[in-house]
Amino acid sequence: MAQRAGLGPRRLEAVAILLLLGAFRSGLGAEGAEAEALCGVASQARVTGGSSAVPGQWPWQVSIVYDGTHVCGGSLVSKKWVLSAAHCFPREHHKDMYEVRLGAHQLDSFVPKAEARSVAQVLVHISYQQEGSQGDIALLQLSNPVTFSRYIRPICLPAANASFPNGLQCTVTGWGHVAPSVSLQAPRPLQQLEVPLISRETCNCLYNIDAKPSEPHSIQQDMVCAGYVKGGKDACQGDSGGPLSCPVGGLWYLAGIVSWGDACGAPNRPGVYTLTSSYASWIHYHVAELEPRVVPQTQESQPDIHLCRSHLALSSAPARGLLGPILLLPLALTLGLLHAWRGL
Amino acid sequence: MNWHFPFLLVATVTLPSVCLQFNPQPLEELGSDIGIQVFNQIVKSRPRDNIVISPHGIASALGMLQLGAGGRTKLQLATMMKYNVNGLGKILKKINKAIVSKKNKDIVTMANAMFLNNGSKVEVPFVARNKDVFQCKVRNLNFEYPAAACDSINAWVKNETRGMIDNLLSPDLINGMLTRMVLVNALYFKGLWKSRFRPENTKKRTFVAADGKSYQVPMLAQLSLFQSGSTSTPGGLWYNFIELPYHGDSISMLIALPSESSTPLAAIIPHISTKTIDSWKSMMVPKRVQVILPKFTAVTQTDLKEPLKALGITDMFDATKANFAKITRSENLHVSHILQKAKIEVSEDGTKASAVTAAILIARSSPPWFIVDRPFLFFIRHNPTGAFLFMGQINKP
Repeated sequence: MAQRAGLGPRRLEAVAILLLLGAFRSGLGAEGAEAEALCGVASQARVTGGSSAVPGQWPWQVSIVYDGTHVCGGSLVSKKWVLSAAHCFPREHHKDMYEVRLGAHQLDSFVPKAEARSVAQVLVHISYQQEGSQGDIALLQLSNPVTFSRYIRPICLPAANASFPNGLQCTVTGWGHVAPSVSLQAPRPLQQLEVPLISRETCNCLYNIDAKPSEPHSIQQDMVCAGYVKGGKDACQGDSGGPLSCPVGGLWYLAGIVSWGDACGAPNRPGVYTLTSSYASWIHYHVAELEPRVVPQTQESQPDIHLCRSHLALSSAPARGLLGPILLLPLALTLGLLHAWRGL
Repeated sequence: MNWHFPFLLVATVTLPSVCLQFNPQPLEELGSDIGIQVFNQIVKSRPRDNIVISPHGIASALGMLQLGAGGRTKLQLATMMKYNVNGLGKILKKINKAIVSKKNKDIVTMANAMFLNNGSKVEVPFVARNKDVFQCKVRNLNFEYPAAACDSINAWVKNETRGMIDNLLSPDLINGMLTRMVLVNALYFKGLWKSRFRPENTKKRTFVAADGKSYQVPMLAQLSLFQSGSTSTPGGLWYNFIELPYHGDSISMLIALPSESSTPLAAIIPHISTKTIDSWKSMMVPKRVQVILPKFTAVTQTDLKEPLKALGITDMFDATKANFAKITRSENLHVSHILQKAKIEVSEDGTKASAVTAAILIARSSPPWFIVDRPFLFFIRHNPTGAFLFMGQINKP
């Protein structure tokens, strides 16, 4: 969005060079070397709409299990590291009771290609305080590295300056609830849903519609939204930490991490995701071998505030017109009464 | 209220010796324990039924009788109840007032009454004490005409419970020749949850009843911050418990559910006492929990005579032994029936989630579930006094 205008010619050059490197590397992978360091490539064509995924379709999706129960999703970003949400790791939980399941498709059935790892280290971002706060991101180090396969592969991490255009059709995946308080039915196949990106500004505007003052929700700098203004399709409890995968230039990037939302699938309440690119340097600082990748700008981002404005124009304006006189009437009466009382 | 309990110890000293042998404990623990013991007796003979009783109602009823009892009749009552009503009148009165207080948003309706046969001359102090401590009304009726007597009792109960409880008595319970007294304790409770269940989340889900069969019943669902925990019986059977507070913060429902579906309720019931339930308090931690709970209405009518006799309160039911000289000296009274009818409704209704809980319930990690999809125990507790207004087992909602 705004970042694009700031890009000078020098930066663009750099982008082009990096892209060439990327192409060279992928060429190597295709030739044999076990798809080494290749990210964001899935073996299956994607399917749109909320549905069950195909095994291997989202090979970076992992299930994070606590004390034997699936609690969150996560994304594999290298042989040893998984990215997830900070709130999946409350302080009172013990690291040793976590397990990461990779290459899983149906949570309730055993797959020989699936692997499990215990967790060597959990790095929770220091700025995370509570649900809805900034910094809902965590890095997990696996006890032992995994071997990439058709079912276990990493997703690309976007670089700090990455910008995904509004309206880009991304996909959120997970084993979370299929509706508020309704868990996914056995055998719990991985679910996928295509959701368009919504800018932070528009999302804030949407969250202000019919907002309860007692429950303030604000979309912070490090968040991005995706979903539908009319509601109905969204991520839900149990999807947290999982990927919002966005396709750019033939590769999948981890644009967001499932974080929060007001209920699930409510109108004007799209899903809120941690914007991975805003933590590119944090990720690189903690895990030097993780190098976020520059995302090519293939499409210009268009303003999307109309998604919220159309609501304001359609439903709010006439309502205001009606409310005006009604509100004025009692006010007038009150004034009159006050007057009389003073007169006495 | 809790702060009044230490004074009890002082009061205990002044009581007759039967009370001195007991460890000083907070008052309502003493009062409620008899109710829980009665419950344990009832479920022994009806393990697969839905049972709702009011421990506090039972304690009140027995307390009322204690005021009129003398000799061994009184001794048996005081021993089982673990306190002497005479010495604790002021505190009991406070407790009873707190329970029906407007602070609870009027969700408890309690009506106590004694119906005495016409011509029995009642001692004035007995009537006054009962009215004072238990808000109990003493009325005269002509038991020679059972149908008419029954009608007036039922009409009174219906009126006192705002139409919620009717047909408490059937005429065959009254023996025109022998019945001298009927004690009635009626309770109605409809709670408004502090954090309501959204009606759109209520769905039919499977409940596996005590008979082993599966039933599709409407179940409430809510993701919220609740106090919950788990513990085991001395025999090593684990069960989970959770506290669902009602509007007004003074009353909450506690639910106990065996952790394993193979553990029958009957296996954990003997372990339940006021002491056990108090110990839950210290084990509970606030957690965001996905609660699934059947929506149900349960109403039970119980004759408490046999359970009480089993617990050692026998003399008052025996025409030759009962001593109620403090009620009347004109003839020898004995208790023919102690009936209790209790009703509970569990629905979505409640207040909207408070700001504090709502703001922290937006994250999308999978919360632990507390699914009440098999027989369970519930307790409705008035927290300031510790009184158990209701308890019950639900085998099939």
